[in-house]
Amino acid sequence: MRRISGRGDVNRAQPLHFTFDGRQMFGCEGDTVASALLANGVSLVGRSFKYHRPRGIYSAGPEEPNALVSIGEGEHRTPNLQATTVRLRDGMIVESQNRWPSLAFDIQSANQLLGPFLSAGFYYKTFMGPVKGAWMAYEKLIRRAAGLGNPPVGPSSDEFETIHDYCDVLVVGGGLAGLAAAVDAAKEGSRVLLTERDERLGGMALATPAASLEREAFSSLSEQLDEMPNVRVLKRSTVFGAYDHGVFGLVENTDTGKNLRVVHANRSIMATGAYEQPIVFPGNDLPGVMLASAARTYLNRYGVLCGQDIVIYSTNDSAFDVAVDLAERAASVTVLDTRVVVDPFDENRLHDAGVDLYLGARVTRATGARRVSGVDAQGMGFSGVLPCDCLCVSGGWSPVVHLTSHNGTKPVWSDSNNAFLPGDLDGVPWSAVGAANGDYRPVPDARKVTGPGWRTPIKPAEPLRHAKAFVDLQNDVTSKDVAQAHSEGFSAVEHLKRYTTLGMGTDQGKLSNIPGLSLMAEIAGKSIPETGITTFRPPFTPVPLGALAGEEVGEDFHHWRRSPLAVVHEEDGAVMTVSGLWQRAWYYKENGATVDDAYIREMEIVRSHAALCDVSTLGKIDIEGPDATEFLNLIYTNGFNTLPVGKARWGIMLRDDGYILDDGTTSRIAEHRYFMTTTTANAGRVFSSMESLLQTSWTDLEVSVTPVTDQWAAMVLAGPESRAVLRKVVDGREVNDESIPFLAVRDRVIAGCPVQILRVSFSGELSYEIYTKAGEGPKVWRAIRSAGAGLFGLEALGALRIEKGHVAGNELDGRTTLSDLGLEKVASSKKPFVGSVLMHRPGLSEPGRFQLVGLESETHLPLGTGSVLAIDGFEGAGDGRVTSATWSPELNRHIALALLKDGRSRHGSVVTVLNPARGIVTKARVRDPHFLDPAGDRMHV
Amino acid sequence: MRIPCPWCGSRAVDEFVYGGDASVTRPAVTETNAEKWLDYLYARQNPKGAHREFWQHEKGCRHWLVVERDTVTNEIRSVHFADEAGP
Repeated sequence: MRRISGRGDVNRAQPLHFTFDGRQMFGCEGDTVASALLANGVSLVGRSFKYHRPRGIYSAGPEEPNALVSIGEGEHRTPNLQATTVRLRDGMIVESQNRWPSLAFDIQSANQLLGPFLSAGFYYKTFMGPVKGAWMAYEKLIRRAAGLGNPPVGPSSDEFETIHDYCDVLVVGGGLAGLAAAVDAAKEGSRVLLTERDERLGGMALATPAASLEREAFSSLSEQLDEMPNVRVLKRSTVFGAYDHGVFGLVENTDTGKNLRVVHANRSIMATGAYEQPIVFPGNDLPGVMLASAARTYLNRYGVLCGQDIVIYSTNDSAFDVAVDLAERAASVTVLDTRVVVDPFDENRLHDAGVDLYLGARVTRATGARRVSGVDAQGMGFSGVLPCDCLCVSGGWSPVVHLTSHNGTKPVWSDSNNAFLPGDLDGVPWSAVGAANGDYRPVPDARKVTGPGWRTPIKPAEPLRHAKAFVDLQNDVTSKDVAQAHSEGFSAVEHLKRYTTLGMGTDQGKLSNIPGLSLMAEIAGKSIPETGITTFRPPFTPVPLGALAGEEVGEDFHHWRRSPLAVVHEEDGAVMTVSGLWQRAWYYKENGATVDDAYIREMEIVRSHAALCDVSTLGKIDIEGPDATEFLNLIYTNGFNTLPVGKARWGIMLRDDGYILDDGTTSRIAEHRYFMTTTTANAGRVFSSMESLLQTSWTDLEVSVTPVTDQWAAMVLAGPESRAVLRKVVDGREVNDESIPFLAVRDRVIAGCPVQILRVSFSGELSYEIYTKAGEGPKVWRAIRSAGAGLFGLEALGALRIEKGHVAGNELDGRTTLSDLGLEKVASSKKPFVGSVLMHRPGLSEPGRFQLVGLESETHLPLGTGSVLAIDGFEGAGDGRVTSATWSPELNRHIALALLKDGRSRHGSVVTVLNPARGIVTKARVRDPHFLDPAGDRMHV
Repeated sequence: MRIPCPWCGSRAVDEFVYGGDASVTRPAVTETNAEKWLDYLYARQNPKGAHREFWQHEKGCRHWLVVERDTVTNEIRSVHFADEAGP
């Protein structure tokens, strides 16, 4: 079992250094980790999942159940990678898994002795049974004992990218069938995308010797393909899922990481090949037992001979090619074939190659400690022990029908193929070609007599109920477990899978589903199609979560929205915070070193002078059309048909179910034109709801709605001195209570820029909202600043509105009604509007609902947002919650808005406020939510 | 999944948002019977097979569409603008 001369495509001039469990080793460029390990004489690469049995390399591809390794070190170590699919790189650090203290001496292999107790259903019966709490007690121990690799502790060092890709024809699989299909499709002029899991095209042709018919065919197809500009080839790329309407998910391995490609194809061709199936017999899991095709691949592609004395146990003709190739280099090759008659041509060529052939044979067990050392076999005219150091098995071939099943199409059993083939793909522009469709030999050997050939039964050689005959190598499911599942009533394949875990795990039973269900069919006395097959679902092979996340991680997890005034926040020394998707000015360093110092100072500036705040994040919608007035009248609870041009009105919208959707101000700009603002949080929701109503239900209304949030910069100038500041900057027009009265909207010019001034108040002070073109926002802002306005940020803005008792997003959380917030008067009784019928449902206004109140702290302790309220004792979820809280400079105490059970009837009483997250319990007095200027004198000056 | 938008052509489903059952009709604004509103909001057939549903081409032309989709196979049998008469 060493690298041999004259065979293989690996580049021996380019040795690659790597370590396995700390041992220094060398491989070649072109090796997989598995072929390099084999070349270094490693046969034992891991311990099994449940019994900690020694396991080796079983296959040469993505069907590998055993050879799972961890690669890398430190926080970049990736567990559970198949040694058979990872390309070897210089400096690679490879570690075996599920062994302690070492791979060669694993203390838990004593589990084997417990085998009789660890059979199917053991955990359920033992730990979920009558003894309560048993699972809790034992879970930790069991989790440590069983399992695969350990998860990495840090973020991946790989780079991930998501790419959308489009083609006319997607060909999945770059073997001979796939290449031929790609060439045909390309000749018709289609844009073809050919994907191949391997780093090389060729598929099974690469397992054949240098001068084979397959290699010849491969060269010719490759040459044709190279000439075709309309064919793109993606290597190291696995299609893991097939979705509706020709959409496929594909993970592409690059030198620096992985790309997720979402491929949209008009038509697709599945050339996914077939997997050689194992044979179940006692000891079939020993290191040194492997698929016959894998031994051939290691020989012809990697130049690695898997043994000197090789026994091949087969049910079909494909193993004869393997035997002939191996016999050229191995000391001895013996074929044990289960059939009693084979093609005389094959008998002759085996004889010529020096291979001993025994027919009607069966292997009763493989023997050996950490590696196979012999087989007990019997057959026509012989019985005895055959010493060997490598046992190749070939239990027939099973087409890879996973992708063609992802849309729910069940594979169908073909008697002539002795295999499941892709189901009826009617109505789907797909086809399956080559081995994936049961045509195993793209280049038939003309000298052969036609016969069953590769298409031989995949049933087990005999019914077995043995505790060491493994059906599923990855999950340690034995033929005895399958028999037990049947005897306990779990004979349906989906039950068999769940009861025994057969077909689960990282390999999803690529080598165990067929042997498992055929064994169940045998035991149950049914045919294989009667027994059925479990459902195939994406992903075909494991997909790293990083590939699914793509670039949307860390600070790119979502996009950021920056106000058009972001540049002035930088100039003004604002400390920024995140609010939804927005970056907002939180507070200003000139007003205080910490947010608590600054926002209180900023509130004082607003209450006694004048200050500016960026409110560009408000949702803004342009509404136009002859029916605009009627439309607004239908979506707001209050009337809009009496609103004159040049005036604004505050309004509330409900959902159809009668709960509050949002509040905002809408100004009438012209007879048939309105300018609506929404809360920052609900901007998208309100706009979508308007579009939906206009396009799906009220299609006769002539109204056009346009989102203009990003087109406008918006700022609030608030405070008793705000009019004086505005007077200094407005070009050529009077600014007084007559020219811009409360709730007026006016076009003016500031610093040469046209602006729209809206006199509304959120803070309770005399206040103006100033809108201007997004690009001119900074210029207008600077002009107003120069005229003497101070600054206030998001924290002060929120605190000011709490003092004023204005509801905002925290109170409009989708669970509150008009009556909860004491806003019944905003609902017109003279007209219908969205939600006008269901808002009167008894449940939305019955006693016991949580109603908006104000709270004044009775102590020096804050009333944190989210705190729970208790009227008498604390019970259940409490009697209410604090929705918004702040320190009030005006009242010189902590205050809050809260929703309290029957709150309006409790004004004057004291409630307990619990904040378990901050460890605070305090008392607060219930009161009207308007802490400041309830008559509104300040804003009406 | 892909949806053939009558305005933009066949586009990936990621560009659309589902907008609910299109087989129910919104009551007239003047409808005052709460039962009818509750039916409109909450009563759904959840059929296996053909289903008329609203989708909005949110990241495209923003048209609301009526899509007839098979809930078993996802086959899309027809698509038309929600504010126009269907087939």
